[in-house]
Amino acid sequence: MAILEIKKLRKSFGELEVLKDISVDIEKGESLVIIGPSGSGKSTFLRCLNLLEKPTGGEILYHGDNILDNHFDVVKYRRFVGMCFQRFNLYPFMTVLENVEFAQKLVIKRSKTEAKDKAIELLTKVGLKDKAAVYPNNLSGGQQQRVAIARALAMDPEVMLFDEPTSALDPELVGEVLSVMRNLAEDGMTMAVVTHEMGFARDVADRVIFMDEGYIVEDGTPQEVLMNPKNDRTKNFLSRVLEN
Amino acid sequence: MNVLSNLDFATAIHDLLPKLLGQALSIVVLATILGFLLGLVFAFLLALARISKLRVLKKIVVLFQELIRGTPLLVQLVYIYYVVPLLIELVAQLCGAKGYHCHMSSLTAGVIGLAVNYGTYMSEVIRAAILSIDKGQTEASLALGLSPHQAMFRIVIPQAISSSIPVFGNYLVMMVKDTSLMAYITVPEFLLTTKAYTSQTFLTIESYTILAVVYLIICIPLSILSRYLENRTRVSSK
Repeated sequence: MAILEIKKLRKSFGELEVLKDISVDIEKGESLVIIGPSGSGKSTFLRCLNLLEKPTGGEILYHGDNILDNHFDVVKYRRFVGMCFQRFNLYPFMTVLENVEFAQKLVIKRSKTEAKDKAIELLTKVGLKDKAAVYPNNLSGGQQQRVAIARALAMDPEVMLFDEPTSALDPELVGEVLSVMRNLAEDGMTMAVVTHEMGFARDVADRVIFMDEGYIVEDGTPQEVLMNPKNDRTKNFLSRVLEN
Repeated sequence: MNVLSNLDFATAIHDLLPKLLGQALSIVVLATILGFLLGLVFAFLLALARISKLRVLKKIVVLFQELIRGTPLLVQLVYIYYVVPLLIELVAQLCGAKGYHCHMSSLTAGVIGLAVNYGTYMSEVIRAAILSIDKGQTEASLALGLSPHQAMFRIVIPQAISSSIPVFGNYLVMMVKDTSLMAYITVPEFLLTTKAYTSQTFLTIESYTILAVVYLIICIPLSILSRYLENRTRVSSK
């Protein structure tokens, strides 16, 4: 069953129409990778899914409820949709442990010990248990992103959104973040990932979407989209990306 | 004739210094602490009003800020001490309360004046600090399920405060010095105390030199402290 059904989604910034007609279902346990040239609307699409951007038109159904409905409780919904950002956005005035505990206590009202146990469990999972007492600014980019993943997972999300999680990282740090995400996908987490990492798309994705100029141009298995693209724009993009 | 032999620092120190370090010091400390704390609260309210989405409120606050920044602190103190009580009586009369007498002590007027004036300037510091916090902090908070209100008060504002602390330090030092303006509305702080003493003794050079030194002794450590805080914030934000 689809957790999120996106129907005819549109989004404009003033005159500029970034998303023109996006329809896609995200199934439970699926890892969906979204690729495309910059400016194609990938990030905007992802940000519409947890309403950091307010869509101009269309519908997003979460278990059948339209999240764009005025009566829909957006704050509560966002808890179930975790997000990781290109620039991590950890809280610099909190330790790693506090970063992961904070929203658990404030939003889900978990007790101190519950929040701490959960945080330690997740930090262990992303391999950063020994950094619990450190401040984020003393960590490498890759470590910061792994903390950000742990922080999002602490809310027990149903879906995880990744907005170019490795784009701000030095090349040698990309692997550690991707491997955490790979484990997450193998554990059955539902994920939507905007990335330029074609290797990750090929190996981990159940499904790949190619976006260009606000439309979904191609949609299929990694095999179909990456190896045998039907559309010229996809071919063009892939040849440029894979050259590097 | 040796002019220097006429100077009598010993007497001035003996008579004036206890007065300065007694009542006058407690008034300066009290006015600075109260004025500064009230100013901070006021600054916060103004800053929040200015970043709120209520257009009318924003306009009113901007107008008020222009009013305060466009007039000297000394004039504001005089206005609060002499004019505001009259205005209050006027309004009371218009509302039908006959014979109502509004009394405000000079120190109260002074503290209010300092708080309003400094609050207005500091509100811009706070507003700028809030706006300078990376938008990603708010977005990450919202994505974790915090309400916009929680994101502002639990995540953005604490960071804005810690980045403004060094600037607040500078304002604190300035406020210590500006308490001297309260002399004009008869608050017996350092300047008025010194002035009263010189008019009795004519030890002008001695008295005002002592006065200047007293200010320096208070302000220099405060400046050093605020510079230290500034360096510390700069290091920790790296």
